[in-house]
Amino acid sequence: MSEEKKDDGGAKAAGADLQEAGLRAFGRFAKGFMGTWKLYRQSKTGLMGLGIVVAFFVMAAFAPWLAPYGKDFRAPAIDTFVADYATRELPAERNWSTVMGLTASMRDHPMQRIMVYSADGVGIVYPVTEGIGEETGELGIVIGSPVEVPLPANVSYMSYVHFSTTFFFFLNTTEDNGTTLYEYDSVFEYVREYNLPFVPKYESNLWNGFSFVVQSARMAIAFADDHNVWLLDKRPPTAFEPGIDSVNFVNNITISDATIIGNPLVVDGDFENGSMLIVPTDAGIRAYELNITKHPISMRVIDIKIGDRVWVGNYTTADGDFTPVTGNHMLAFPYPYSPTTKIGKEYVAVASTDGQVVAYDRESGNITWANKLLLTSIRDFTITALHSSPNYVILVGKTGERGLIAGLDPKTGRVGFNNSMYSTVDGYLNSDPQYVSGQLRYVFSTEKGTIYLATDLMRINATFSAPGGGAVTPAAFLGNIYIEMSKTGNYFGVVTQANTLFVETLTGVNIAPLPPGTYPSGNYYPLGTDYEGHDILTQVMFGTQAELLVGISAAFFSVVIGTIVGLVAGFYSGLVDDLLMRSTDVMLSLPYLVIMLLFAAAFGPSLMNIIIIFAILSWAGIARVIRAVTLSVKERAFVDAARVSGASDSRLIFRHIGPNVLPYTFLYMTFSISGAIVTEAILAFLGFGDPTSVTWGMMLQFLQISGHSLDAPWWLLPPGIAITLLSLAFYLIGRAFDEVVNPRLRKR
Amino acid sequence: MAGMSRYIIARSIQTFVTLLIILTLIFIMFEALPARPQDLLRTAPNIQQSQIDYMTRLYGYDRPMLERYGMYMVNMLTFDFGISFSRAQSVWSILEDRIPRTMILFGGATILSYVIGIYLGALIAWRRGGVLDGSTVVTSLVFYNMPSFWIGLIFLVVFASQLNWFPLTGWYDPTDNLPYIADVLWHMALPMLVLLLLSLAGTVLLMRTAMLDVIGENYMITAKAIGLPERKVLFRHGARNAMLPVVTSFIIAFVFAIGGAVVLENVFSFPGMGALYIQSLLQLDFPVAEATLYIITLMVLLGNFFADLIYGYLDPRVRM
Repeated sequence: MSEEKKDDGGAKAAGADLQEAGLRAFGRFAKGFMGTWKLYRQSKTGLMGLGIVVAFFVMAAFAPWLAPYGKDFRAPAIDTFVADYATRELPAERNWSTVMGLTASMRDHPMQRIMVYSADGVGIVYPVTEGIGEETGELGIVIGSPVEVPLPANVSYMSYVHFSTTFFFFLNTTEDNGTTLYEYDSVFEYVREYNLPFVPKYESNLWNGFSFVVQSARMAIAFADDHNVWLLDKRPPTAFEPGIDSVNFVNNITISDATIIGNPLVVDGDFENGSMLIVPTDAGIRAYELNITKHPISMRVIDIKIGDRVWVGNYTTADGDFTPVTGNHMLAFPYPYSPTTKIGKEYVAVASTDGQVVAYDRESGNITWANKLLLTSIRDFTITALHSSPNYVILVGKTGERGLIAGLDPKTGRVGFNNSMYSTVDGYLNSDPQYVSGQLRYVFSTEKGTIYLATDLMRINATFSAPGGGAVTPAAFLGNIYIEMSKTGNYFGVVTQANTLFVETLTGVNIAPLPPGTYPSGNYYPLGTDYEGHDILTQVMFGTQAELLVGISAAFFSVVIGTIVGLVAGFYSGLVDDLLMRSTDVMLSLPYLVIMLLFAAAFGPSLMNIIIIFAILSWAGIARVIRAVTLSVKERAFVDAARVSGASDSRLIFRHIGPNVLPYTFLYMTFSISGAIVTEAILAFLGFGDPTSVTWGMMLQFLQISGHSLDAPWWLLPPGIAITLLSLAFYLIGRAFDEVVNPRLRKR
Repeated sequence: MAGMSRYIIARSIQTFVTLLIILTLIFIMFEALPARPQDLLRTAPNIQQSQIDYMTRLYGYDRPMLERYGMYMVNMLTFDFGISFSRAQSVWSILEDRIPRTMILFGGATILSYVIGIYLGALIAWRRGGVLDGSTVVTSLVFYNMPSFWIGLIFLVVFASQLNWFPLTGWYDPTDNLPYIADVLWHMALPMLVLLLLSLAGTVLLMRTAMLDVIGENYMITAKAIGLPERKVLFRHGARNAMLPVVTSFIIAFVFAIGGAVVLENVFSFPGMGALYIQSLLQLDFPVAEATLYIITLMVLLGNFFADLIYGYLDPRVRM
């Protein structure tokens, strides 16, 4: 037959030869496979295991179609958050601004109005009162009929401040390097306007000097552009001086040798002198005195002026230079919750782009502390803003795709509670964290349109999305519709994707995790939801993908390493064998989970690392077995025959011994997959898993962290059952395959 | 017993060498951690540079790595663990209460599970094919593949939270009106029960398989044929030989079970070594984490050593 082939010509013969060799190999493989299958299917448990694994694969592959909800679905607030809310359809589709609450002080008047405006000069004011809400049927906020107010055209930015009376400013940039500032009062009536000879880029916080003794107030804000800072001094009408209502721009400072890079900060000296204006420039933080002259007896502010420069703080710490985080929120200080405590006002903090926070002493400008921040369980994060807040400095940043909010302890400059006072959320923050006094909560939103409430210890205790699919404006704290602070009527507001104004109270109760059932939104959650409103069944289905990926990859690498080690050790007896077996013995006697935790802490949490760690630590058992098999195969006749005919060592190992060892490799791979799945679950549960991935172990970890492990069986059971089933299924496959490979085991 | 003393010496040397290797590995891993202890030291508000330097010298971070390694090995082998970073106490004082707790919990559960498991495994292998056999195998298979913390949580929910038969957390509660030992045992009961079930699953399966292997051997058939009482055949001849692979697996299972104890201590808030280990890893408290890991590994190595001794006693072939 070969002669016939040779007659066909060289190249064709070679091709046909290869083809025939390939076909022969395939034939051998197919025969082996069919033989194996015939033996395998005699085991009922083996078939059951295979069936379960196939079912999981199908679930993983078709999860987007099989799962009841999308991967990022979260139950709407109507289901999870029992709170009073109200909605109003906005008149037309426009680019609406952040919702504003037009409120007076908490002493005198409750919040009476809510406003939105658009850049093309349309402002809409809604009166709000207490009453029976149409959506909820309960006592709460009621939004009345809107009133349109004319705004100046091309309003580019608006801010508002309030204390005893409300006043607002619009900033409107005009072409010839000037800006017009408009002032409106607390019922949004136009009062006056000013022309500013500059285009402000930055604005400071409000300095507020209110004297309880004589009920008089003075307010100041600083505006800045690249090189200048202007102080705006407002004297509103007060009980002492009812007829006064003036606004002046007092002196300004010019910084010619540096460029201003962020919002200035006005730091109060607690009714004593020592108030300061801190200006961040690219050549350091410059601190100026803020000379506030007070009447010696009544403590009424007479005059306010920017004084001399006191110190310059450079961006250099003991570790070297750093690049500061710039922008609208680069400086912060913790302000005391009550005016009488003085924690923390002694410094001003700046963040660096490499994760440090540096504090400058307010009086001298020396660096009080400079810390590279640490967070438990998060390696990589960047800081985008610092916010002043009662008793803490709040840090906003990013970690991967998630947003980060953390609280810095003012005494140590470290993230509070042993580096654990932080939370991460889905998507970057698009609003400032606004503190709601009286509620001890922060409200903020992310660019994905979800709104979060966090406690002052940075624990997220409610998340919700507005009905109609997410907010399009950053969340804003509006105010309290009750006069007395004890009555809980604090609301926040957003404009939703459905062009609706949505306001909700901050004092709602988060009733997630939800048990299985149907809920007010009409959604049915077959296995209930978790604490953030994710549907459990959906998460289990989508989690299958990561589980299978991690389990099979980790097992694969582990088995590959083990097989190679076993083959080499068994083949080259002697020193190599001794060395490899000693290492195997050492590996086997290590408590591998404990070491794995150490590796996970060292390498960092990610799926890839877990796979690598598992592979590194669990090849030993397989290596032992493969070595034993290699030793016995080595003695067989065909190996000697191949050796005699001149086969090289590697050819012997891979072409002759290898295929006989492979069945054992596959066998142990199934057991290894079984173990890898459970190990990943344990690592995730203890806090060393990959926080960006959704695996069943992470679901259980979240359960534990949210504190609902004892009262949410619909959340506790499904992931665990899934882990057990999948691991068991692979184990059963392994057992059945074991009977094929080791004939002695059959018929048990 | 031929060769026993030689065997013991060989095993002792091997254990000691393994210990040294593991200590070295631990040292390397801690060097590889991204945070340095000085970073934690620097977080105190008024810390002076001189104090940081002092701490650096105290912990030896200004010395070259080899010298540090030497100091480390000497300290570890003499059980001199230094002072914790997160608490102002010596590491040993934190550890000394916890070691016996973990040992009782984990050791008790493992030993119990082996005693019961060997008996049960042999029994069901002897009565192969019955209902008891099938159901035990299925139950063992399922428990073997369950994540340990999950069973722990379920037990916690059912027995502690819903039925109130056991306390939820901790080790000892002075407000319970029980004598000290009874109270401690009551607290330990649930985690020990869970550990017991988990180890039992693996043991029963293994013993059953080993026993089935042995039953088919000729000497067993002979023993039955010559009319020896069933019990004698089963245990004197069968189980004794079947125990060999079981004791081998004791070594492996001991290693796995320590991991289970670490996890379960976390779930049950049991103040033992495992909980301390995880806590110190998360806090990056190096001395405590190193010491805990060392003690845990030491316990495992010693357990293996004794298991090897028992194996050597049972199977003379090993002593060659």
